Amino acid sequence: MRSLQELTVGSTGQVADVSGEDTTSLRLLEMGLTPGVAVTVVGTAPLGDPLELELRGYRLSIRRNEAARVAIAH
Amino acid sequence: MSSVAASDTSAGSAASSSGHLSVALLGNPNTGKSTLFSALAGIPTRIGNYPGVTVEEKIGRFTHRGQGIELIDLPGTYSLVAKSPDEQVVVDVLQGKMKGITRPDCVVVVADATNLPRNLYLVSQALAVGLPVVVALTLGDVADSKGIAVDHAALSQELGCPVINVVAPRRLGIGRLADMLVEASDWQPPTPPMRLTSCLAAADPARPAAAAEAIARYAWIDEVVNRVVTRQTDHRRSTSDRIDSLLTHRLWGTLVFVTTMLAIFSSIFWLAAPLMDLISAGVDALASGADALMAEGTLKSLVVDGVIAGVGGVVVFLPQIAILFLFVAILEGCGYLSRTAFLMDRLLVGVGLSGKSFIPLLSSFACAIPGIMAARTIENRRDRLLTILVAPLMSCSARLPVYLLLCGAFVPNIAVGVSWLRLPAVVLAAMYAIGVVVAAVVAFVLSRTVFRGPPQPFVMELPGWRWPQPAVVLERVREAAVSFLKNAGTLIMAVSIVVWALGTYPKPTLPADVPADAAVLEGEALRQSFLGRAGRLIEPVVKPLGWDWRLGCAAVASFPAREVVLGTLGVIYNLGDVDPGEEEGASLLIRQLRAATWDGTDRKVFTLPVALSIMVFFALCAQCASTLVVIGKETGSWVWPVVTFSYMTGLAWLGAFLTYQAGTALGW
Repeated sequence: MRSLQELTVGSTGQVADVSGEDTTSLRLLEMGLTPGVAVTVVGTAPLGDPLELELRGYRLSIRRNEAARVAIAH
Repeated sequence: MSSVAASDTSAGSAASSSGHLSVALLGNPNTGKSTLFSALAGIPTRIGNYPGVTVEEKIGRFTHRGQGIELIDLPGTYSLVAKSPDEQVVVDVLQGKMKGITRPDCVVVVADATNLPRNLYLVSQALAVGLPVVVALTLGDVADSKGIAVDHAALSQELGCPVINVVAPRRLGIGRLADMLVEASDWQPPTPPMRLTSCLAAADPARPAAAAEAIARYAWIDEVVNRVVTRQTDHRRSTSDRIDSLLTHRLWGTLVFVTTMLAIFSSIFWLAAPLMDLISAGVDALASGADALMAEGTLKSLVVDGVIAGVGGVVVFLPQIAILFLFVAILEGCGYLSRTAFLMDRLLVGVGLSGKSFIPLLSSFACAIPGIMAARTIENRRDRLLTILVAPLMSCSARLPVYLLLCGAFVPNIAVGVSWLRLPAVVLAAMYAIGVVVAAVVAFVLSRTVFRGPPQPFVMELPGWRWPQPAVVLERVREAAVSFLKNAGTLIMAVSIVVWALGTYPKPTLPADVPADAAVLEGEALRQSFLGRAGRLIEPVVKPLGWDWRLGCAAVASFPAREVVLGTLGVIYNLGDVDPGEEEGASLLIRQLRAATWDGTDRKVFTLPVALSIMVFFALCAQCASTLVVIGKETGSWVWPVVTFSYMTGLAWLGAFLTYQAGTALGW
């Protein structure tokens, strides 16, 4: 199972699950990164972190270690 | 949330008993909520912090069809599940649990039409709060340009509450919204839509409740959005889209970023300068006027040397604050502020901070006060506090005269490597670098020790480009300016008076054989005052730094405001009131300093290591009462100014000590 942080820039994936039970995971879910949603990695900051994502019609930025919690379906 | 609705009976009666209607304005950040607030209520009547927390409270009043309405602009939030102080405040106000605020009579939820799915998350929670709800659908014009169409009538049906299209900058829909509010006391709170209730009931019991609920809400949102939103697949790229592409481009985006930051930085230095000179001239005029009009004596000295000098010295920073907040408000309004945090995050995380600290720290190079105030944009409490604690280490513009004088007078003008690179310039750059490096180390250490904690989510929306609203931008500048001036008029005035007293009393007694010229008199007055005595007292402490008691005295005198040190040195060396800014004054001071010897010896005080140790001390020391006062205000506690003062003074002493000892040992 791949994680969101492994997706290359420009590719789109479908969220399989968000792991973790803390505030960060809840926040990811509340911002729309729920199972089944399509998410595209639009780009990264100059140093490779954080990631810029597009989902549900808007742009979201999250750090790589946060993206690691999001599993992407094949 | 439903249990609160059942127990609350005051929603309807509150309006009629107090005469005015209380409306809460709720919504995600970046939805045009501030513009809507402005369009409805104009300038806020109450700005401050909610009791006990450093979350901004903003309340406005207006009248519509004879009905008085109080509008509470709640902090922007993505969810009513409280995970931060901001969210907790929103929940408390909506449940009527916030001290000093009665429970609102109804709620206006602002939803961004370009971004409806995520906005509906908060709307779905608001529908269960137990208060009448109106949804104001904003940014419809931007949605049009993106080819997004929202059927607001269908949406209203799906939600079970009124939905009004609003384009606040053009005042479209404002009247209808106000009409609806006036009639709000006649409504019942909505029943959450059946489909939402069944989605929530079907939430996965295997997951933690909050997570399962979030997923269930989005399941409902997907259904609603399918029925209500249509996207044109072949719409023409709008100007906004083109600007967006530019700003997010790997190369051009970075170029835009660097240019913007340079522009902000230089404006705070150079654009502000003529305005600051104007204010400075005004303060001087006021001082001369008072000097001429008032009778000699203690009161005049208090007014001229204490209040006018002290408060005037702080008020002169108003242009820098106004300019900085103008830029921050514009960046915020056009959606670019988040992008700067995004670009700088990786670098700042490395030292224990985060991307949002970038602009506050950058601004602190001009003056820490606006920088610390700008830290309000950091929602994360820990990051915000850390940023505020290290901001004063960014060498501010008040340190520059000290660096320039000492570099010019005591650093040999030799070339370093290439002929155009001179040692004084290198030393100057080194002083700035020292501040940054020490700040990085302090932030790093604090974030791993005292402020160690679970990682805070960075999860941050990157809003698309939109045109900043002048009304909102000017309002932000006005707020910042007023808040700063209030500080100056109260706390800083108090501090100035105390410092004046310490520098004036006890009055000097001159030995009979000393000529009574003004300069000598002033020198004696300072030496024999409490401040001067403090200088002599700490001489053993400053000796290891290579300083004599006069330097110690000047350092102590400059604790409230470092920029007075040069003038103070002039007084101590019996030059009278030397203005080191003027060509003649500076050379006179430099000559005096170069000639200064230790009491009773021929040994020069100002060697190169001494000059360097003074500069390092000034680079790292918190010699600014105004900054400390602002830190206290922004953190809501006097603990942090004390902590800042203590750690910085400690580091300053240590830095100066190491510099002097190393420099002397190396024979500089």
